[in-house]
Amino acid sequence: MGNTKIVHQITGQYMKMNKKRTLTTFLGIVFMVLLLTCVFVGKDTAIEYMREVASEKNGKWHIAFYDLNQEDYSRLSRVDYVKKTVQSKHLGLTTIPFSENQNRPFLNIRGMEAEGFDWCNVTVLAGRLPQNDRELIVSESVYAAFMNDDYDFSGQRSLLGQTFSAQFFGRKLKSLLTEGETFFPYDGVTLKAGAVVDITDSFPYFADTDSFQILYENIGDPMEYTVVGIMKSTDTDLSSDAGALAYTCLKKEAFYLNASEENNVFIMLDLDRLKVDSIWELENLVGKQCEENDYVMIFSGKSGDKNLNFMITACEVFFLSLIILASVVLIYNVFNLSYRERCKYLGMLSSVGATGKQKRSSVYYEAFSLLRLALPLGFGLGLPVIYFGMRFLSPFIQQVLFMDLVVRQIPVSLKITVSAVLFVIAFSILTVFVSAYLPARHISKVGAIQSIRGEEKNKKQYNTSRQLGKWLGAEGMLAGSFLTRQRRKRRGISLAITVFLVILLVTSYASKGIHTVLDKKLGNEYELRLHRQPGDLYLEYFEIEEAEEGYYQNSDYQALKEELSRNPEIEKIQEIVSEIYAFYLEDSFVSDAYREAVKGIMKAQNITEKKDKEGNVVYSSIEEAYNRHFVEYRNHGMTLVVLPDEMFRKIAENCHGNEDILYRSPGVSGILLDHRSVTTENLIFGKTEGFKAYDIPHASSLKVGDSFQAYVDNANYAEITIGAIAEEEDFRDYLQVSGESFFTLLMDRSSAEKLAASLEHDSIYQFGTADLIITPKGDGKAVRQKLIEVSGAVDNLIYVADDYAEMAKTFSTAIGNLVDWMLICFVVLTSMICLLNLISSIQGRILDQKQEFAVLQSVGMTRKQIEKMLCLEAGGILAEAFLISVLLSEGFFALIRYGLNALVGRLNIVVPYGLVAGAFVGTVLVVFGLTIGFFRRVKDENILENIRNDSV
Amino acid sequence: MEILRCDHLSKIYGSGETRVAALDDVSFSVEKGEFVSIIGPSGSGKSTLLHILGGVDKPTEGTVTICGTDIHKLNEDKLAIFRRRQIGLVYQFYNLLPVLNVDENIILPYLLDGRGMDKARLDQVVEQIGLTERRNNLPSQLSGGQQQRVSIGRAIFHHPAIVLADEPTGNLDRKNGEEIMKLLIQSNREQNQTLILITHDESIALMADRMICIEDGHIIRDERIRSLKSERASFVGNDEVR
Repeated sequence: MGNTKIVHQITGQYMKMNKKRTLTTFLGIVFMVLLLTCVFVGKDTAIEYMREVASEKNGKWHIAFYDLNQEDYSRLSRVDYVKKTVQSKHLGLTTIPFSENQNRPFLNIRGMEAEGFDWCNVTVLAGRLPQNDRELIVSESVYAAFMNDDYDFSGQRSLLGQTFSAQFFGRKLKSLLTEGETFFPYDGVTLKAGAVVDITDSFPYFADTDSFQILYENIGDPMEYTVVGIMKSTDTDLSSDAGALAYTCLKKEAFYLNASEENNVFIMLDLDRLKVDSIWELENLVGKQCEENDYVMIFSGKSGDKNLNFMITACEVFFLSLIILASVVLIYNVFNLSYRERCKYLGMLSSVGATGKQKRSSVYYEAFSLLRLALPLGFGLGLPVIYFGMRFLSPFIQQVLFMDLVVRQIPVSLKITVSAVLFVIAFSILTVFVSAYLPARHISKVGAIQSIRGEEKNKKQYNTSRQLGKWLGAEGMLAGSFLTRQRRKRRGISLAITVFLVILLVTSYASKGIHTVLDKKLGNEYELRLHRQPGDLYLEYFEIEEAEEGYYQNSDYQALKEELSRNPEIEKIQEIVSEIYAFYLEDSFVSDAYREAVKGIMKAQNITEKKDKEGNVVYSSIEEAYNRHFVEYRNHGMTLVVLPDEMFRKIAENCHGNEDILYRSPGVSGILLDHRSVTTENLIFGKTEGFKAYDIPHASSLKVGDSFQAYVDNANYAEITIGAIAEEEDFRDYLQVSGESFFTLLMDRSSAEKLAASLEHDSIYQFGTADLIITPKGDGKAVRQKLIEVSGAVDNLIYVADDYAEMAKTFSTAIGNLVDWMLICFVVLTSMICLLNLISSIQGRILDQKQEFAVLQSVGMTRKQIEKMLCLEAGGILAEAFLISVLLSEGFFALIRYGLNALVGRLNIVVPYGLVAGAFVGTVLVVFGLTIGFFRRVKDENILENIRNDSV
Repeated sequence: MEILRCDHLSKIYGSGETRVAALDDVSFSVEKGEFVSIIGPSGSGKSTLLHILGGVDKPTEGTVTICGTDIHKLNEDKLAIFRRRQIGLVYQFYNLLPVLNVDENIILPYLLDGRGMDKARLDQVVEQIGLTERRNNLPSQLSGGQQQRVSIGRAIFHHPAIVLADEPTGNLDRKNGEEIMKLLIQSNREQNQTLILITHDESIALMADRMICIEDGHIIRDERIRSLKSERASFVGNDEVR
């Protein structure tokens, strides 16, 4: 069909002549490649880094099976996606001659294959790792002061090299009672009078008491061990265990020495070959549940939670789509802007015989010749962006994974895989092709004369809009005409604004969605915290009623309070008394929405049938299960919070409480907080396959003035009247409630005292926990010292340190921060594409209008009038773009809501209105600023030159 | 009555070896209602002169006084206001606003002056230029001749002190060219509209009351064309030609 070489040569000349436009297109493609690099290489790097960081917590292994026999181990080893295994076995408890930890006087020795030390993060604090089955590395917890990072081990180095004879032993628990029983709640051991029971090695160490004693029985022959190292205590080195952890190094042959032997097996999986149900398959294969190293698996996108995995993939697709969309719009816009100029030279070519294909090829030639240079540049620039971005994000990642623990700074290293590079290349080519396709197609179809004239066929007639002229003058008429009659020319700007706003709004909404899911998933534990002003001191007193001997008694606490109130260094003391799950509510008081949510959770946890020990069906459907739990057993929990009167009054005022009920009625009344948040994590009926959460703004059917029975147990209840129902904004200055798995009832002291009396409590302190917020005068150093001393002496009084607020940062807050920063980085980078797009569109539009401005000036339009016209035009474009953005964003919002609802449950995702308003104001300023700025740059040019340039 | 006066107008482009004097010490004046044609070969400086007279270009030296106002002493905004009130410009390539229809293009300078729509005058001008049926059409929907008529309509709508036409027929065929000249002369004759027209077509130049010949930036001839009145009268088809 003809040679395209000449067309390409001319296109090359055109590109050189239009340097600015070529540069804009080039920069756009560079940014696009850079962002794609960030998505693909950045994702691999981030996952690798997070895997690296996450492995610092529990180790590098992916899954672990405990107590596995030889046959199951062999079966597992043969599975194709099981990459590597490491075995570990429990050798037994032995006494340790040099233990300084009185609560853990034994050594719990385990044997492990050499590679396992790396897999399980055995961190050497002193000495070295064991290299054979006669060497040991012992946990720092052999010292009483373990877990303190400042601990100086220099004094203990003498332990290194010590050899001792280890006699392994088993333990039995013998009751010394003649009647009754001793119950060990944490271990689930019930020791009946006179009985002897076996206990595991993890059973805590107890000195003999009057009611029981521990019997020790030696197992096997003594072994000689030499301590060659001291290691950092790990998560498996539980402080409740009787023995401090120690490892020796075993060869593969040392495992499964007899048929009955059961060992622990750590497994590294081939993640690329892993399917959704692979882990489940492995569990079925050996008939045992495995432990997943959640941290490593989640950040590899292979968590056992299919919903979370789906969300990670969805996020990747979502970001990729937005980047491609922004890039396509930018490149398309630039090609579209150069349409007139391009049409002219292509028209000339067409008039001398260039075919549609040749004309089309000129657009592709321009696009792909720019891509050829932009691809290595964008990729090259993307790598430092990823590297420094990861370095910037790394503290957040470490914070997410370790919270308050100090860990070593893990260096960031780029992970560039062949597949990532191929994806960048493929998506870059695809994006450029899609961007150039429409302009190329359009240009190939335009005829020679039409091309040269640069006019498009338009047969439409336009009536003169007198109203517009009347209201906004000639400038309004002109702006209106430009807007309505040159849609194609302003479409670029409108599209650029729309894409920017949609990306910003959708990203921030998605971020809110992710936050909400994370908050529900990770911050699922019910927590009620009081807002504490800087400098306030905080004392928590709990187990008041059950305080045994040696514990702080209520009378002591009252005396301390009295003493503090007299202390001249203290300005104010506020006391809050609370009890979590103080009452149970009848099902008739909860709303239908809440009821449905609970049933949704039950459904997610596959609650179908339950039988009792005798095999009788307890329930056989969700409906029956619900009735059993909540109708029969009134299992809707309610927390009671007794606030200082002043705080209570302020909250009551904020929520327009009924004062007659709250302050003047003779009965018990309170303010109800009935926002509930139920998830598969805080409402557990069974095992869940995927995370589900429901947010119910009003979970009760109670209204102000209604009374309900607050049950303490099946027989005792108090009648309470609702004086107000508070929303979060009513109390957030005083209280912070998260993981709302309970209803909360706020009371003032007088109502609480009436309640305590009606329940025949001695005082309100019988409800559970008392918190004191102490506002000192000055720096409060002496008061703080006093509180630390008092609380240090007893177990049920805690002085909460000054960095409480910092410590109170939850996992979800930290991961939320990480998500925020990643999204901010994404928005900043895509915004740069959009801004570039906007600059090129507005600049192109102004340059395109130069001749029109010149004509307007020649017929007497002042520059101020032109500026007014441009502002009106920009206003119109903004209005259109805003409208489209809002509609499109609302569509995306609905899609995200629908997706999350389908995936996770009914969640209340708040539209970030502040950000929306900010984005709109920012866009208005940018658009007006750029429009006027570019117009003013045209100022110095001669009107005549512009008129002469060409006819309009 | 003298309506335009230019004194010692010079326009220099470039400097040193590339220095070009587009106009060199040009002076003349025009009376109200006069029809002056400026003729000269390409590059003689006639268009430069017209644009300086219209206030869209600035002279290097000299003054242009229209209705007693030295226009190049006005600041940019005042000059624009002066232009929309006192000057009507007609270009070879029409220079209509592509987004405005016929009516809107015509009334534009009037609206720019903050005056409301003068429907009667608009109807009158649209009828005069013969585009009553096309008043809602955009320029791209009109022929070249029609576009030039709109351009003339825009130039005369607000009764400017002076209409400056830069080769108004240069882009048109003979028939359309004649129509355009008819319109311009009609306006000159009927409304006593002062008209300065640039052309390199001598037959058109001879239709004027006075012809100024420019060559290399100098006026080489400035003369009244009494002898050709009859020809012009027959062209217009009206005996009442001054």
